[in-house]
Amino acid sequence: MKRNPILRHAALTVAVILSAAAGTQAYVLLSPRRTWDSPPNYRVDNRGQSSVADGDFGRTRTRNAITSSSAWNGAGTGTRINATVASISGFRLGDNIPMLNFRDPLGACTGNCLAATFTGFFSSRGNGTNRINDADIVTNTAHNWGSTGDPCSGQEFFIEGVMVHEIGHGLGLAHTNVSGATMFPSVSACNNGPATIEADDRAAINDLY
Amino acid sequence: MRRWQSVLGVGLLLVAAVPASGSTFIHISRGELAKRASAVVVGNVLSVESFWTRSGQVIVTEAMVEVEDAVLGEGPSVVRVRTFGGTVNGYTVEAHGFPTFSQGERLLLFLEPDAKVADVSRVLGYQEGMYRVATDKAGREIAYPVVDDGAAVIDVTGKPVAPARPIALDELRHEIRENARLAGRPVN
Repeated sequence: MKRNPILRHAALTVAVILSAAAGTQAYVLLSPRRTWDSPPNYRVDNRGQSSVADGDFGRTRTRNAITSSSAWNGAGTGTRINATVASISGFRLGDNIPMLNFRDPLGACTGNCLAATFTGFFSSRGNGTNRINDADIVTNTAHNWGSTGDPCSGQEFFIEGVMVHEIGHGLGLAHTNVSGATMFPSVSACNNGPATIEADDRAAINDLY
Repeated sequence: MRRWQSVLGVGLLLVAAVPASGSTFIHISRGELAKRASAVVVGNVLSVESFWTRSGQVIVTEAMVEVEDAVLGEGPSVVRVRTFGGTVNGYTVEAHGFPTFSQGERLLLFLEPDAKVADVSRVLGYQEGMYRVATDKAGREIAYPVVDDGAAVIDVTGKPVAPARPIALDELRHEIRENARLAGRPVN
């Protein structure tokens, strides 16, 4: 039962290559793969998030963050997302109107849920991709929210960073294992890092669009 | 050659096992789940149906779960458990990181009443409140956590929380009852 050293070395090499590949190409797309036909026009809830004490309930900062060139619109050429602060009355999935709701009219995101994204899509276009026609976000007001315009108490989650992350899902991205990337599944209190996309996020969005 | 195939197979499995999708949740411990759940059941999924809610706002999916063991709490022999998301007429609403159900699977569920619909339950703690039960090679029943990377599970400071490990079903039942007893709840 003597092991072949060449095979053993080769197996180790394959494992290292796989591991390295996973590290450099870490982004993950939602499965099944799905994209918008054209950049979505998000409506950002004009009521704002009541716990954000920046004089504007975080609505303008959120809109600016999700459309910023530091976020998805700076990933490459062209616009990935548009957004306006507007009424989100008539909130529903499948209506072709993507909405970022600072509350949760569905009652879906309660208790330990911080924010939830829903994507609505049709079956394959025929080329293996699916067509997103709606992606709505709901927020749990029971948690502590802040913004970069609101001195952080140490326990607040910045609304801008969380929403840039959730919008990433709405555009078709899943979580990455690259720490520090916007799509990494973690967000620290008083840290708005996720509002700025990193190389891994850029590669992901440019893979899709 | 076989050894190469097995190395490549393991590599492909690792690549295929990468996460897919997401919402953000604050971690809830099993102790807390046992304290707060209205019931904890082990049961089999008899059927699964997706439909638009009466308000037309979202697609939901309901599973009929035949209760085989009420670990905690009282309830009917078949419980209706609702989750968000599903597919209707070729249109899918995906609720990222929420529980999903398949007909025929065996589950352990921490349940809470649905705040909006009478006689319907929801999984408390989202994916953290759900385990899939299967028998291992030694014939032991194992409860497998179902938290996938659709859920970003973080602690109150925002740090990611390591997923729960598979646990023998009997051990999990015992732990739940102990946690409930510690919380001053009546135990079945």
